Amino acid sequence: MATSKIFHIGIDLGTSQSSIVTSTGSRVSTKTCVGYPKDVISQKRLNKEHLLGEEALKNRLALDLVWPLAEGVICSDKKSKEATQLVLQDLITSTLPKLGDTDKVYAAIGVPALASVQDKKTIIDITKDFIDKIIIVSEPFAVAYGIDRFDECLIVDIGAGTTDLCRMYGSIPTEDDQRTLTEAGNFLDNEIMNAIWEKFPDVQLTPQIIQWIKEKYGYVSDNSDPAIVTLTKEGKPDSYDITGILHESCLKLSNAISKAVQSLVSDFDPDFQEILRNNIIVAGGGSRLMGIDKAIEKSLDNYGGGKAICVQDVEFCGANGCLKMCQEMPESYWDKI
Amino acid sequence: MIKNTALHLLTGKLITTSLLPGSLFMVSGVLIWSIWQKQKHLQNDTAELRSEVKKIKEQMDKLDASIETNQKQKAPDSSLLQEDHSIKESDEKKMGLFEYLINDNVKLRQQAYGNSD
Ligand SMILES: Nc1ncnc2c1ncn2[C@@H]1O[C@H](COP(=O)(O)OP(=O)(O)O)[C@@H](O)[C@H]1O
Repeated sequence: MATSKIFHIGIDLGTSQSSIVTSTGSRVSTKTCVGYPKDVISQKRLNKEHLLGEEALKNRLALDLVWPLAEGVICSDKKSKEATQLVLQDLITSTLPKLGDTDKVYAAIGVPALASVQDKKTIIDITKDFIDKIIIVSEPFAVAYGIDRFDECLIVDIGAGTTDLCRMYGSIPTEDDQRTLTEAGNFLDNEIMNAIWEKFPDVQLTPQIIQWIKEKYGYVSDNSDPAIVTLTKEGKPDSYDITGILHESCLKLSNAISKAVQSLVSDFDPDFQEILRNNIIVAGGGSRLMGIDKAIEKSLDNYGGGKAICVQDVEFCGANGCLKMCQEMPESYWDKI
Repeated sequence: MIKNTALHLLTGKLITTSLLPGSLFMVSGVLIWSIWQKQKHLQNDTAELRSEVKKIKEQMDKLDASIETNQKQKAPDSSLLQEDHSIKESDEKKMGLFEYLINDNVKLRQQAYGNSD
């Protein structure tokens, strides 16, 4: 008789990017999107019912793209549920190819802080055929767990759909300890797009171009190299200096985040405000924005100063926290679910 | 008889007068030599004893040192104690978090499915 093994996995199910880390040491990160062929011709050409992640993005002209977590929650339509299921299933099969019929998968899944009971129920429902036991945790909590910080600290998780802030102080964070802002990656993309169009009407922009510009040149530090990009207008390429525009747009994001940080610090127990101010941990794809840590620190100057650090291993730090949680959770706790 | 006795005495006297100084000298020489030998022995013994005592003392010192380090290793120093304490504390915190998480997830299933499975 084949012996059954238990595999632990941690998944960060994000609005734009999802990652998995397994107890076998595999890790994969992919865009949280699924593309369905637009018509019979594209279906024939691609020879697949659907494409996932980066492959879907590459072939987007021939596909209807579904971003199932576009607003930070799982969209309620059938297609979105199916897309979420496909993304999760693909993450597991690509990292655990040798999973046997009798083997068991125990998973912790980190979801955006805004996810509702209904969203979480959806995740339990759509994974019941390929995950044996599952716990769902909020993403900032998974980040904190991954870096062993459940003592006094403030997690700022800058994602695509939302920025989630969470105060940790050794116990379970309550509603009051959390803030969710819509000022996040997608918000910044919009700001940059509008600002460019305002100054250079008619240049041709797509979400991909904007995202590329933001990720390559975006900054909130006091100075940076000039951001001169090649854009097309009526099909003709030209160079455009967007240094100033980019800075102003990025500041809108960092200012909103700084305000939320100030608010979470100032209504915390006064005895612990200083320690909170000095332990700000910035995570999520947005933590790569040049100078974001320094900008948050600067915004706390009037509050007595602060210290912010950006996490290492941005892509996997939420998934790592989930896996760690899975592995450290005693069996007796798993038995309860 | 008288003649015999006289001869005896004469021989005795002769012997004592002629041999006594030489034998006395020899006896005292032997005595001095043996005393000197004994003293030499004694000196050797003392030196040997001294070196034995020295060795024992060295071994005792070594033993003392090793007992001391042994005790040091066995006795947890305060920094280790503190570390141990904080590991325990963080484990307790973790268990508390797990308990909350599991209860939250059980509640979630109850809310979602309207029963207690
Ligand atoms: N270098 C960068 N500068 C600014 N934003 C970035 C950078 N790299 C990634 N991002 C943004 O981070 C967001 C994705 O972060 P992520 O944590 O993966 O989001 P989610 O968890 O919501 O999927 C996207 O909006 C992406 O454009």
